[in-house]
Amino acid sequence: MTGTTQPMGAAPAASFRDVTRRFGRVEALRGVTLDVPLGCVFGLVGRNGAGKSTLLRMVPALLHPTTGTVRVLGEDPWKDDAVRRDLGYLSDSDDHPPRLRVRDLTDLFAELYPRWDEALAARLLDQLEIDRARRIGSLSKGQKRQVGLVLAVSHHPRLLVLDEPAGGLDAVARRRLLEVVVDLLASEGTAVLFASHQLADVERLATRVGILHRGRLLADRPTHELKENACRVAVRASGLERADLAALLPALRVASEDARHRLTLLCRPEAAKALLEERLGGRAFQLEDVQPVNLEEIFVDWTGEEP
Amino acid sequence: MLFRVNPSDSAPIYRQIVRQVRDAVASGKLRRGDKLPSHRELARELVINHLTVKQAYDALEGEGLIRTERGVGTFAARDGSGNLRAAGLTDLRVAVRELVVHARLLGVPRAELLRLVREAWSPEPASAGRER
Repeated sequence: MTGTTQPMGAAPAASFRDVTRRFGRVEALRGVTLDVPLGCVFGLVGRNGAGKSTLLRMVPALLHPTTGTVRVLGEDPWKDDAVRRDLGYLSDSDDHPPRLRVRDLTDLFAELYPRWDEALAARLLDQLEIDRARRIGSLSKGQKRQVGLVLAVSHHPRLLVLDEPAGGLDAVARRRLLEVVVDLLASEGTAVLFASHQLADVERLATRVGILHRGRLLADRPTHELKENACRVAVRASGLERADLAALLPALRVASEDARHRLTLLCRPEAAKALLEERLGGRAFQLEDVQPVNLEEIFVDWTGEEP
Repeated sequence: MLFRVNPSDSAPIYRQIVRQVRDAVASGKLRRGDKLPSHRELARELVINHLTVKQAYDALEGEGLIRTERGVGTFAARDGSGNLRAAGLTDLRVAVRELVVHARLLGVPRAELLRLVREAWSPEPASAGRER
């Protein structure tokens, strides 16, 4: 892209600095700092109520942070209207008026967005087998999400924000939606920030994963690194209590039964033995098993409370 | 060749692709000069991020198993029957490490493990008949 005024390699697509958000007494976000670089697909995972939607709604300026700053393509989304035209947003609720027809919505978006691509919208609606004459209220839940996605991407956004894009969809509808996103990524290099409970989708799409838990960002790493740097181990150690192990080791979870302990450790499987030797400082233990883990296991162990 | 990925596997998706290409070359399913799908085609087929395909192809190119000709495509660069050692050795090293860990966990001493390896390499005449 030569000849543009945009400096090369400049601001990230989205950036959050020490963002907190309170709703009355509830602290929905507590000091979240993260960057979504240009071209990155950032998958945000977390349990219900972790603060994912709150964070995402700050990008299209639907919600202010209580403290901290949010920048979208380097700009303050509240001050810069232009930057909002570079954004696509799919909220977690189907909030388009039910009496409108699909056509009314695409016409409206074409007015709102100077870069609206009618041909792209038409192609996607065809691909998803959605008739533009239908009223929103008559569409299935899956079709509503699909229409929402078409509306969010047809102006070639530079940053796409998707809140639970596959929420409540059947396997086929979910796959179709993913296909649209995968195509878009490959052809346009759009940066994406999305929240999902579908860890398989996160793994398919995200180059980076963030784990949000009770308003705090617990992890923010490349997807493959997160997976490769964790393992489950079974250890027999008679002189050690569960609490000792939790304190001495980078453990996401410790389950103990007498002298047998099952731990999820933040280290590569082949490094587990050395780590135990180092951290347990000469105390006798026997490593009985080491197993790699998948993203779901890491997520469950990390956000399932304890140790 | 047909690729297949399983997001719930503990191996990252790019590694699953790397492994499948290695296996396909080793088994002769993929021969020197065979064309591989482009990043985009494979991303589409597997419904994964094209950057993940790129990550896999970059690793395979680093191992000399595939090569990309700009504007033409990506091709298998070796035959399984030829010299596949460099690529295979990486996998083999991991497998051997696992074997050693396993032996240690069982309390099998070094000498005994080596004896088991020798035995597997060339089975004793009594148990394996006349085959070498």
